[in-house]
Amino acid sequence: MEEVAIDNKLKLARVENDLTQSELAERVGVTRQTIGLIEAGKYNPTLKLCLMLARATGKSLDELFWIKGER
Amino acid sequence: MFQEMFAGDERSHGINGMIAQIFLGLTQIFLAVIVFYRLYVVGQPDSELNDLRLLLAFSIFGYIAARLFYGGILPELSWKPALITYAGLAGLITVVCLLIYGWPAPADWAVTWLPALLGPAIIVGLYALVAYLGKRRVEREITE
Repeated sequence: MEEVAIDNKLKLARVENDLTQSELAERVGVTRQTIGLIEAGKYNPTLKLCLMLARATGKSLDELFWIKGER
Repeated sequence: MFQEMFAGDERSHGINGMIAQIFLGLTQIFLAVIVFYRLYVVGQPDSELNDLRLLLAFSIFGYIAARLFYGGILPELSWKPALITYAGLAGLITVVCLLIYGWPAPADWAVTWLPALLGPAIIVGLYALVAYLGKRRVEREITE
């Protein structure tokens, strides 16, 4: 399968919602480190976690995540 | 604090799986090295290494079987390829053993011919079983 990089604007969405990494992590049931790594583009979350993050930040999935170079 | 240290999310589960796989592989390699060392360097008799060899075989074949089962992607074996595979494996083992140990005494059939002919049958049989069950499991999940 073709290797694709995922880009996101989770950090921006989190700041817009006035949330810390720990608070967002607690809302979606992961560790703060996982949120930090997603924001840094160093960990690709599962679809389930992507949907939970989208719900927690009030964004749609495609607003939050996209394939690098396609936007 | 300890709860935080061992808090699990999808990322840590992925890391756990990867680390477990690496250390399982290393353990299997070290076990194999120990078996070979004791057998060929120390000169311990075969019978004293049966426990380690059984453990190693269980670990390797159990791991492969579980991966194949949960993957559910193994091609199922029909009779003809199964028989050809069995004949090839049994033939190879027989020829190699005959070349190394020579023709066995008829009285030793239980430790010579039997494992050489039964071993490949068990391997092919287990493969066919795992392939069938793994595929059935995935197909059932798809249709549910």
